[in-house]
Amino acid sequence: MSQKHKKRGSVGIAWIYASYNNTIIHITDISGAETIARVSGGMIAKADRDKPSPWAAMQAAIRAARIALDKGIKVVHVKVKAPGGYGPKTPGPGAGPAIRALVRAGLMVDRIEDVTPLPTDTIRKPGGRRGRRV
Amino acid sequence: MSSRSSRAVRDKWMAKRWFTVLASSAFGFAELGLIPANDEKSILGRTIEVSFYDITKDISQLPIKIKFQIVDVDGDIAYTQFKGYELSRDYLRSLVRRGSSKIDAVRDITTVDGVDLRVMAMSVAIKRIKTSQIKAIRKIMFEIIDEKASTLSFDEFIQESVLGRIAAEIQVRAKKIYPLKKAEIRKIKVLSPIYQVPLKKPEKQQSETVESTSIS
Repeated sequence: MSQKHKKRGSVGIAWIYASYNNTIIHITDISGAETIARVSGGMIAKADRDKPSPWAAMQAAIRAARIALDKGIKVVHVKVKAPGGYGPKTPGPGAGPAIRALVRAGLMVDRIEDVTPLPTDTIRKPGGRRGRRV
Repeated sequence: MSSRSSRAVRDKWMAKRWFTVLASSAFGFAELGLIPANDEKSILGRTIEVSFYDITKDISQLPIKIKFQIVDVDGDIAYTQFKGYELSRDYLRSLVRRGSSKIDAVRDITTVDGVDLRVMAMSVAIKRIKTSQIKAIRKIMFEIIDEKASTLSFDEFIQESVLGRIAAEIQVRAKKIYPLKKAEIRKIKVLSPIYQVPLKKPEKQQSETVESTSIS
């Protein structure tokens, strides 16, 4: 194919969604429309309670970085995201280790940004007036 | 089994075509990067967000994020239209402090060539100021934005705001009321449907040179 001689893109975006229940590392191209690699903490950890752990996030980031490097991505812009909305606005325990693992795995991290969806006003938290009754 | 599935994925990945994305005419058709796609149709309508630093290589312009939307594809080159502009959140947070007034001014305008924009300007005073002073400064901000909109075209207006010339003017004129720590155009949204905005393409010769540089 003639495309083989063409330059291929080497910049991507690493979306890191870190909540208190899981960490998802999603590497896409710069338009965000084409997925390159997507690994979550749940794919690594055996028990559900380990899904948000820093260790699972690290392993997931390493695995995602390896797939991305295989496909020719060298530089990533990191966009860290917490659940936001009515939920927690600060990223969960997996965010920091995941970024460090991406660097360790050989990806160049260009810039890091927080893209938590912050409401300008807010919606009512689920659970109703009497709270969540477990 | 996993290795077989990964190979199939790899083939699909290799089959993708790579498109060079160019910025809109206001930014001199700078190259924004390459994105993969199966065919030309699927690439239309995608948006790309880049830092203004990527275009100018000026570090002071790092917090400026510009969004482009792909509107036309010609061969391996995708043409974009300016979609919006925003300052990064951590930069805005660094400006706003407790004990100093923030003045917001949101205005819908129409440029000379008939493109509707929503301009969100923001200025921060060095101290907490009276509401009457806030109102006066906001009035000045509206005046400047309207003035610019009535004289500038779409491309020019974006250039002026992204390069901070409008903000600088706000700062100078608002000084009469109260000195400002910083004035910024915080955000611009394009309200007109993107395909109604007149699309300007580079000259034929220019596009060829762009193509040759992207290959080399």
